[in-house]
Amino acid sequence: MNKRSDKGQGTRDQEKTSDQEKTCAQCDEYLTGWKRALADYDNLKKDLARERTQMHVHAVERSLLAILPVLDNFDAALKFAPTEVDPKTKQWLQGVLHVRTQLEDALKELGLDPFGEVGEAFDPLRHEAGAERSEEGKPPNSVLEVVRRGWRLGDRVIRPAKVIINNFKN
Amino acid sequence: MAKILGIDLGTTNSCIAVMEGGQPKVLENKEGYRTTPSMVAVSKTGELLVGLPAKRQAVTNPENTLFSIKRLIGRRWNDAEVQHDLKIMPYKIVKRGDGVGVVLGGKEYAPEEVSAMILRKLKEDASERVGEKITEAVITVPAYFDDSQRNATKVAGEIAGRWRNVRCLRA
Repeated sequence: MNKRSDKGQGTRDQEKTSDQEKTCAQCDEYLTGWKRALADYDNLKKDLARERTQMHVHAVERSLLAILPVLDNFDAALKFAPTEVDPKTKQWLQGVLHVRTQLEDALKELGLDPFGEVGEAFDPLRHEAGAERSEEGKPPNSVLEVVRRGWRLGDRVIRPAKVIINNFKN
Repeated sequence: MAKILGIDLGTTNSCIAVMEGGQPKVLENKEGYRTTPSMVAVSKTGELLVGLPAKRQAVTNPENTLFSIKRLIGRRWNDAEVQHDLKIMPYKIVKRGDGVGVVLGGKEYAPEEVSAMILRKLKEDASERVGEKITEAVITVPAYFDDSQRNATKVAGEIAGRWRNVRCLRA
């Protein structure tokens, strides 16, 4: 009788241990799954934040690229401003000039920086060659004329400067 | 699992993408654009330029700026397309055995080598974006490409990446 009950007790113990092992394995599986889900969620948060920043940069960039030609046209128009004008027109012209400066300042405030100077070496990462001509006494492959100023937003060139470069060979 | 790079190697522009969550995601290149001009140049200062910088100086350096190289890849010298391109391309196209070669910065290159330069840039840009090394790629080829053109494209891929696996997909 005792032997039989011992045997029964042993089987129950074995079943208990097996159940405990199963539960532990399941717990481990759930824990691993939870940790993975947590890591995935963390990565998703980072991806979304990165995407949001990119979208913001793209949106700003697109808007700025649409505004830049306005400033170019202001500059082009001011190049042909009449020199001999009556004082009233001169005042009005000063006003137009202020509007142009205001526009440029607004762009600079948004983080835009103009670049492209006569004399600097041609760099295809920042410049776009529009044409070339030969001028003696100036370094070859240097910028002779800036047709359209370039603009950068932070480190990124959003519009290269369109330039005319020197093809003079010594 | 490592990402497989999808490359649309175009005649004028190229594009790279990876699969993310079962959807293709186009990757931006180093310059921040979703397409890269399929152009290679040697600048007047002797620098090798690939993509946008090559395009930006093309006007003033036409004989050392290669474009539309896909028109020449895997072609034979006698092909009508090659004979036509000989007349219209600003860069020098030369005979290389039965095939063709192009001259860039005084050196002769096979079209596969030029395509490889473009593919290498695309691979580097993709690795930078994804943040891991890319070991496999799929490159698109037009449905009308024959075996020679397809194989040449595959060779270009192998030169460019030393990839574990490169496949050409008819698009």
